[in-house]
Amino acid sequence: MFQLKKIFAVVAVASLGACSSPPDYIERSGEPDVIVDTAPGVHDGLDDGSEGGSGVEVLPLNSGAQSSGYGSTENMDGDPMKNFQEVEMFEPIIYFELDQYELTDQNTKVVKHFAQEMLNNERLTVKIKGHTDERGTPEYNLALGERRAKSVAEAMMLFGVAEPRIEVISYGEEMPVDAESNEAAWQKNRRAELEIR
Amino acid sequence: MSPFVVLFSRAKVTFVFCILLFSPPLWAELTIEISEGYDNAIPIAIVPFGFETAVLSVAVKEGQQGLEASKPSESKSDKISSPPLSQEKAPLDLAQVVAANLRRSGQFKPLLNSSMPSYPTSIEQIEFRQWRPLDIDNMLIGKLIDQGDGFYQVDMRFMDVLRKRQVLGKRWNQVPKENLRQIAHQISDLIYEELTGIRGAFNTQIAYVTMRKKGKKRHYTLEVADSDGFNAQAILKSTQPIMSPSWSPDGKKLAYVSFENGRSEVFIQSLDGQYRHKVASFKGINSSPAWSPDGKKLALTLSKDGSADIYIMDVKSRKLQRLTKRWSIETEAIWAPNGQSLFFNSDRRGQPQVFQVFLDTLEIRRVSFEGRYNANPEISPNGRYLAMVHGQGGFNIGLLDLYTDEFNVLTDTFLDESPSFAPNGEMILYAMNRNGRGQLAVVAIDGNTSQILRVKNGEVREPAWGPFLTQQ
Repeated sequence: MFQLKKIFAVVAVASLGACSSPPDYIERSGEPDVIVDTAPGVHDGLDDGSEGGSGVEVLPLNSGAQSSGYGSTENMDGDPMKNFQEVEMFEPIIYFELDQYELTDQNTKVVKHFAQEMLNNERLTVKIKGHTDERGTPEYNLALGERRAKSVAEAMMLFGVAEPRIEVISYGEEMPVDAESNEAAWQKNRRAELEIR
Repeated sequence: MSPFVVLFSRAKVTFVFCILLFSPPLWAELTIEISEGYDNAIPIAIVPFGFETAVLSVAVKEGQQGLEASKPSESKSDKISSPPLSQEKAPLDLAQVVAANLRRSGQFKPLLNSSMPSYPTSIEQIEFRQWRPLDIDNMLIGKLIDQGDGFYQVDMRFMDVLRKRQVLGKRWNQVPKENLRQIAHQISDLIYEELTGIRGAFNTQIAYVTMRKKGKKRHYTLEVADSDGFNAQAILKSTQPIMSPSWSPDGKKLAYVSFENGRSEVFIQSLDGQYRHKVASFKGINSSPAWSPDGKKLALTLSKDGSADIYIMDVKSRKLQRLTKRWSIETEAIWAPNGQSLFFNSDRRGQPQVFQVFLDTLEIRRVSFEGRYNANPEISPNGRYLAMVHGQGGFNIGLLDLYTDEFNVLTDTFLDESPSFAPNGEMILYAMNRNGRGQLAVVAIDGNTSQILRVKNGEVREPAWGPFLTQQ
């Protein structure tokens, strides 16, 4: 049975944890009783804790608070975050503004992602289903929904997906996800859905 | 029974609304009316009919005016000061159906039962001087007689109060119980034509699509009902959308769009249930069927050759003729009554507007110029008026007079669409959105009166008014 792949955008903001005030440096005299917080990999000139005297434990910072950026795995040498393989995820839905059917840059990124998926697996086919909100006449909206779906199909083909693998269907205004009559609902209904299997 | 707050059509500031409760056995229907412009409506009295049981041994003398077909078991002649008590036992309140019909046309103002001085059911019971002060020129009286075995006789007399004489008298014999409502519609048509000179369209049918949600599932039906929304019957049930019902000119078939196979396809179905054919299932969109006036062709919207365009299909041979060849969207084609041109919606200028294409020359001209959005054209039976969905801020029904180029917006409701003319051209049935759900409404073409028909629970949309049922 066919499984609709639903991939959600990962919300990549990690909790920052308790933002403690930076520790006061106390001059070492006698027994060091301070825990030096340093960003891992940054050497501030103090001795490495492993070489310190007894009773001192140097702990690397665990939270991402002092890392220089999210979502990029490139700029941290030795950064533990590099191991998480953060990838951008997309919902297989493209949204449109009122009366629009062209793809925005953001939409194009989405299409590109799924086109890539199609190219990675030759056996996959895609059904592109075009929808509109309820405003305007049902028959015109049926044609407008098709225009949206075709717009997505054309983009897929530009990214290298062969035409026979793509099917375009329009449902016009007949299958809204939100049946309310307000802007929020209409926004959700103006869409093209990708069904890849 | 809480009164609805109903929207009103444009012209007048003052409005009157009243609520009638119908209680036919199957479901409670509410018909709410907004009537403006009552100044021009003709006052009329539709007196509740008498209800009697025939005594079988009495010989029936037909065709003679003034004769009773039966002796009533209880004489009602001395009890005319209150509505006939037997109304409660009558299978149908015929007068109520007639009054509602006439009121809905926008041309009549039926007197409330409580305002009537008496309730005559035969000519000799009428005291004409009682009615003149009420400014009533015409009154309808009648009788419903139970002939046994589920058959009824209906007598009606339509009277000229001023001249104190009968204008129309008719009797229907051996009417099955389920056809009594149809008789009421016929009576309505007779009165309407007598007083306006225009053929009545009450004895006609409408088709429409309903949608009901059961949990997460949607259930769609295509239904046919009387013009007042009663007697609804589903002729198609589906879990997938249904769109665009179109009546054949002989009233025997409906063409429509169904998504039962996962995409839009056009079907023709005979109303007697004898057959159902899929006539268009090409690649892409198959939609917007419209019968030609001679019933031999179907205009269609097909996108199989690239983008949505208008095609004409010969119903018998299924041969296709392509009418438009454009990258833009061309859809919603309908035939002019003389069969020589079609009106349709094209967004070749950016937004939907109405165009006309002539079949002999294939010349195309633009027809709608008001506002940024005009779609879903429908033409009156006499070819003079074009109704359309007019988008200007909201969406309402506009009416273009093709003779004078005068354009008026007829409705003031919300998200109006799918206009459809009555076969006499006097009223337009359309769909709108109220309280979050789709409902049907009727507006007179002068825009002065309108009425909401709530035919069912759930959503109702895509109405289509059928043709006259009989030849005149």
